[in-house]
Amino acid sequence: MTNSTSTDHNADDSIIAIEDLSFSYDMGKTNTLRNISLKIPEGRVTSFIGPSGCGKSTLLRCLNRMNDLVETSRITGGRIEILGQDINAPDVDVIELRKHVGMLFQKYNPFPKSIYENVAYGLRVQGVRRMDILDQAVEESLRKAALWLEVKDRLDSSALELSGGQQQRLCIARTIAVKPRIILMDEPCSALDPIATARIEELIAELQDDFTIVIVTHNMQQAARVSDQTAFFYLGELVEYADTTTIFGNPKAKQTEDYISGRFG
Amino acid sequence: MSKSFGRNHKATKAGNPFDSGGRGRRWRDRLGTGVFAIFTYFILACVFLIIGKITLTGAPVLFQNEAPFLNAEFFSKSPMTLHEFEDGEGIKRRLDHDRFVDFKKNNPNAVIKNEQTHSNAGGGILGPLVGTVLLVVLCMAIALFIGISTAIYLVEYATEGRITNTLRLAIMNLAGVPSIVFGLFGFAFFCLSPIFPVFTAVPDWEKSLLAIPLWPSDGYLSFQGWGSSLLAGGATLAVMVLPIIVAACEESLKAVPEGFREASLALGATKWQCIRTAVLPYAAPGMLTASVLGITRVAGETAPIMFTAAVVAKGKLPWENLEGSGLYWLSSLLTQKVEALPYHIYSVSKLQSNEALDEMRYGSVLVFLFLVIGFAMISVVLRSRYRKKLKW
Amino acid sequence: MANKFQSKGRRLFGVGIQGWIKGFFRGNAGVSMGVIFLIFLFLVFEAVRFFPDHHRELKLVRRTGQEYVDFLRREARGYQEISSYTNQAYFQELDARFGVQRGLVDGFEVLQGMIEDGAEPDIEALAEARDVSDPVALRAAEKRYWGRVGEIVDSAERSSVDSFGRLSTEESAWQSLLQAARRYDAVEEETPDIILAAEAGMESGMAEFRKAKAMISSAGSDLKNLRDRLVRIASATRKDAETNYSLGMRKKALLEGSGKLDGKAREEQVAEAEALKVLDQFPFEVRVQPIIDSHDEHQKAAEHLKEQLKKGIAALPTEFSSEASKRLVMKIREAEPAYLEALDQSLEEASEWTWNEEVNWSSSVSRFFLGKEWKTASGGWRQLYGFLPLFTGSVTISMIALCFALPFSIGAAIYVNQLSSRWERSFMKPAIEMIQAIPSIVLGFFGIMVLGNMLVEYSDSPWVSWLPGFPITERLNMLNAGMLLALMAIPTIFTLCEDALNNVPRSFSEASLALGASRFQTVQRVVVPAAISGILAAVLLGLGRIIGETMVVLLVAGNRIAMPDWGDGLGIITQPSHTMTGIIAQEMGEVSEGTLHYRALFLIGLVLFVISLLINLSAQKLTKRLGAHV
Repeated sequence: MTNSTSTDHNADDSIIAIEDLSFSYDMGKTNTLRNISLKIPEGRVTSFIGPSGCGKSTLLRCLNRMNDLVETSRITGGRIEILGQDINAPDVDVIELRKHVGMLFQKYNPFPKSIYENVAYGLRVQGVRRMDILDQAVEESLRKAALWLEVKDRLDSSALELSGGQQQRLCIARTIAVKPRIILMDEPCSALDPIATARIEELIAELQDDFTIVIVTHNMQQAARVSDQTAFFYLGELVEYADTTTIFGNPKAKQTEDYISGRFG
Repeated sequence: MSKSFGRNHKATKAGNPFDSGGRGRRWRDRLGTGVFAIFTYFILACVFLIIGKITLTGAPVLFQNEAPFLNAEFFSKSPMTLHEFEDGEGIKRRLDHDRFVDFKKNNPNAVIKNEQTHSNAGGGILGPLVGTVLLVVLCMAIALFIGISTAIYLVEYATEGRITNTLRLAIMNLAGVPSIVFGLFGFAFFCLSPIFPVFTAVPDWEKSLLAIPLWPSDGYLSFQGWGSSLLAGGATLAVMVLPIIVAACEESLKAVPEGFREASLALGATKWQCIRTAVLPYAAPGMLTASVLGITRVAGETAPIMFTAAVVAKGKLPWENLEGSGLYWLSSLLTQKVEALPYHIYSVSKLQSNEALDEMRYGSVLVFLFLVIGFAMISVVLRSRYRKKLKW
Repeated sequence: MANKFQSKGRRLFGVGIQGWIKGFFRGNAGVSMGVIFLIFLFLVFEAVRFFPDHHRELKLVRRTGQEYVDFLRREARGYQEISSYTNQAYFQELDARFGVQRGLVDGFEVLQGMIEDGAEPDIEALAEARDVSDPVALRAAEKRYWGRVGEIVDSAERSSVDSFGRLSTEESAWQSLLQAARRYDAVEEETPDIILAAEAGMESGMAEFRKAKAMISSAGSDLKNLRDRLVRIASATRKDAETNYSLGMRKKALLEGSGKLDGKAREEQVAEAEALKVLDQFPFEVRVQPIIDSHDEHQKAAEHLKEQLKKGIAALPTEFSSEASKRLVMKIREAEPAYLEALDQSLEEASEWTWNEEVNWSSSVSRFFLGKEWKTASGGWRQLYGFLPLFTGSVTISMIALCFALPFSIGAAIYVNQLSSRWERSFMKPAIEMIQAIPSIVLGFFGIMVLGNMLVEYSDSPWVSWLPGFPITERLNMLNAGMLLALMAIPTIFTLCEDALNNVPRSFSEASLALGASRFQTVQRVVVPAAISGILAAVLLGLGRIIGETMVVLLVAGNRIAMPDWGDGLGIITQPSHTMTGIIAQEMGEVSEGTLHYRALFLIGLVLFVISLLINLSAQKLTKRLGAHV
C-alpha cells in the first residue's frame, strides 16, 4: 500500500518533488519517515493529514531544512527537489533555500517588536535598507494577509498586543514579505478559535494565487475545505496521495477510509 | 488532640464542634513557630546591628552639616599620614600630611609641640576607590567578553555532547572554589608565567622569555609576565566571575523562546543574523543582570587581589606620572600595582587603634559596604523587572 | 543545471563568514575551557613538586645533623617550659607573701635611680665638698643636695614608683619608703635599714623556694650550652652546603651557556666558571662528625638535667599563700613525669640516629600532612611544613560556624517558607539574601573592631563565664571568626533550603492538612522530611562557603600557628588559630617563585580545591537524589 503516487500531474508543473525519502531524528537508528515519494504541484494548496506522530510535520520541516536545527537528524535515503534543485546538495545555501520556502508555525511567534518591524524583518536580514521599499513591502504584505485595515494606524505598537488570530496573520504577512515561492504551514490554526481559523482559511484561499502552499493539519474538515491535493500519512509512510475530492470521497486505501471516517486517529 | 472528636463534642463549653478541646497541640505549634520566628528575627537583628554600627560610626566622616553636606575631601584625596600637634597657643590641631607641609612652609617659625603622626589616618579614599573601579571595569570587560561568547557558543552553536557537558560541569563546580585559590592561580599564571607580554623600554631580562625589539621606538615587547598589576588582578577576578557570567548568560539565552529562532531562520536569516536580531536583544536584560551580579561579587573580593594587584599605599593616582606614550603608556598603566578599597580596609584594620584612624576606617568601610550593597540591590531590582517583562 | 539556492556570501580561506563567526565563539569557549583546565593544572603542577623538594630538604636536614640538634632543642624546650613555670610560681608566691617588701625594694630602686639621674650635679658637688672638707661649702652642698632630693621624691609619681601597685593598700609602708628615700645619701650609697630589713625578710621567708628554683634553673644549663654550640655547627654546615649547591648550579649554567658563545668570550666564561670553587661531594661526613661526637656529652647533660630537675621539683614547697602559685606548681608536678618520659624517648631516638640513613619517601608526604609545626620564617633555624595545625584550625572554625549557622539558617528558611505571614516574607527573604552582598572584609573589620572587644568584655559576666573557654582572654579567636563565618553561611544555606522546601509538591502538605494536621505538624512531619536531601545539600554548600573564606579568618582568627590546646576541652573554641586560607593569604606575597615554601602554599591551595570540589560534587549528588525522589 505504499507509494500510491498521484498521476494527475505530470512532472512539469510540480514545484516540489520528493523521491523515496527516508529520514531519521536519531542518527539513522530509527526512521521517522520511510520511502516517501510525492510531487507537489505549483500554485495549489496541498494538505498533509494523518494521526499524531505520523511524520507529516517532519516531512514539512524537511522541505525548508528546519530539521537542520536538530543535531542528530539525518536524511537516510532519497532526495527532495525544489524548483528542480536537490535541496540537500552540499552546495545549497540553506539561507537561500529558506528565502524561497517560507514557513508558518503551529504557535504564532511574532517577535516582541513593533508590527512594522515584524513584517520588515525578513527584508532587513536580506539587507534591504531603503525605507520606501520597506514601507511598500510592509503595506503590501499586510494587505495580502488581510491585516492592513486592522493595524494600519498602529504599525509602531507591539505585535504582542494583537489578538491570537491577528498575530498569526501577522506571521503570514511576515512570511510573504520575503516573497517566497512556497509557504509551509505547520498546523497554523491549532492555537486559534473557530472565527480566527475561518479567517486564516479564507486567507489561504486568497494566497493560493501567488504561492504554493503546503499545509499540515490535524483537522480533516480544514483539509477538505482549503486544499486541492491531500496526502495521508500513517506511521511515517505515505499511504495515499490524491485530489482532495478523491481522498475524501473515494479513498483507495482502507486506512485512509478508516481515518477520515473517524474510526481512529 | 482530642481523641473523642465527634462522639463527645457536646462536652465542649461553647458547643463548637470544631474546637480542638486540648490545649497541648496548639501550644506546641505556637512554641515551635515562635522559636523559628525568633531565629529569623535574630539573624535580621545581627545584620541590622552590624550595618547600623558601621553606618552610625562612619556617617559623620562622610557627611557634614553645611553644604555640600558630603565631605568632598574624603572622596577627593588619597589616604595619607595625619599629623597631630599643639601649636604655640597650646591648641590641638590635626593636619593631613600635605597641609602640614604647607603649614610648615608658610609658618617657618611656628611652634610645633607634642607632634604625633598617625599613618593612614588622614586624607581620603580617592586612590583605593579609583583602583577598585579600574579593577572592576577591567575584570568585567574581560569576563563579559569571554563569558558571553562562551554562553553563545554553548547555547547557539555547540553540539550537545561530552565537551559541552564537561565545560558545564567544570563551570558549575568552579563556582564553589575558594576565592583564595583563584588568587593563587592568578599569581602563578598572570603574574609569573612569562607568556604574557608587556610593552616596556627596559625588559626584565631575568624573567623575560622573549623580548622583541620594536623598531623604530627603542622599546621591547617583552614576554615576562604581568607581575603584580592592575591587569593581572583584573584577569584573576575575571576568571573568578567567569563561571557566574557564563551560567547566567546561558540561562538568559535559553529563556529566549525557540520560536523566535525558528521564525527568524525560516525568514531566511543567517545564523548570525538570527542570533543578533532574534536572540541577543531578548537575552540582553538577563545578561545585564548577570553582569551587575558579577560586579557585586568581584567588587567585594579581597583575597584574589591581595598578591595579584593590590598595594598598600601609592601616593599617586594610577594615571599620574606614567612613563612613555602610546602603547608604552597603556602598558605601564595596566602593569602597575593599584590601591584597592577592600585591600585598604584590610591593611588599616590591622593598625593600632586611635581616634583619627578609627574615623577614617569606619568611613572607608561604610563607602565600600554601600557601594557593594548598592550594586546588589540594583541586580535584585533588575532581576525582578526582567522576570515581570518575560512573558512571551 | 544551475543551482537556484547558491550562496551569495563571500568566503575567506574557504570558510564562509558564518563559519568565521562560529569560530570566534568557539575560540572564546575554548579560552574559557582552557583557563578552567589551567587552574587545576597549575595547582597540581606546583603542588606536586613540593614532595621531591620536601624530600631533598629532609635529606639535607639529616645530612647536616640539624635533625639530631632538633632532639636537643625539643628536650630543652620542654625543660624551659617547666623552668619558666617555676619562675612564675616563685614570683607569684613572693608577691603574695612579701608584696609589701617587694614593693619597698623595687620602689626604692626606682627612686634611687631618679635621684641619681635628677640630682647628678648636686651629688658630684657634694662628693667634692666632702673630699675637700670645707664646712661652709659642705653645708651649702648638703643643703642643695637634700633640697633637690626632697623635690625629686615629692614630685615622683606614685604609679611609676610603685608600678605594680603593691603598696597601694599599705599607706604606712609607702610613707616610710618616701621617708627613706628622702634620707638617702647618694654619695655613700648606703641602703636604708627598712629596705635591708625587707630584703632580709624576703630572703629568709622564701629561702626554701628559692633554692628549689635555683636548682631547676641550673639543671638545664649544660644541655642548653650544648644545644647552642650544636646549632651553630649545624647552621654553618647547612649554609655552606647551600652555597656549594648554588655555586654548582651557577657553574653548570656558565659552562652550558659558554657553548653558545665563541672565541674569547667563551674562554672568559669558562675561566669564570672554573674559578668557582665547587666541591663535587659536599663533605657532610666530616662536618657532621662533631655532632656525632657530642652524643656522650648529650647523654651526660641530659642525665644531669634529669637528676637536678627531680631534686628541684621535689624541693618545691607544698604550702602556698598564693593560689596562682599553687596551681603552677601543681602543673609542674603533673608535667614532670611526662617530660621525663619524653626526654628518655628523645634520648633513645637520638642514640639510634645516623646521619647517612636514607630518608623515606613517604615521610616527605607524612611530615607535611601529619606535621604539627609550620615554621617558615626565613633565616630561622629550619623551616617546617606541618599542615595539621592549619587544617585543624580551618576545620574547628568551620564546625563552630556551622553550629551557629545551622539552627538559624534552617529555622529561618522553614519560618519564611512555611510559617510566616506574606508581609513578613516580603521583607525577610530579600533581607537575608542581602547578607550575601556584605563583603567578607567588612565582616572581618567588624570582628576586629567591635565583636572581639565585645566578647572579651561580656564573657566575664557571671551569666556566661561558666561556658567552656570563657571568660575569653584573646580578642581574636576561633569563636569570633566562627560567629562571623556563620553569618556569611546563613544566606547560602537559607536560600538553598528555601528552594528545597519550595520544591516539595503542594499536594504533600495539602494531604497532611486535609487529614487534620496543624500547619506546624505538617512542616515537621511532611515538608521537612521530604526536603531533607535538599537541606543537606544546602548545609554542605554552606560548609564549602565557610571553609574557603579567607578575609574573616585572616583578620579575626588570631593567626597563631599551633595545634589547639586540647586540655581545654570545648574551651578550644576561644583559642586563637590559623587556617589554610589564611596562611596562603598571609605568606603568598612574600615567597619567591619555585621555593619549597611557595610550593607548600600551592599544596594547601590544592587541598582546598579538592575539598571544595568534593563538597560541591556531593551536594550535586544529593540534589539529584532529591529530584528523583519528588
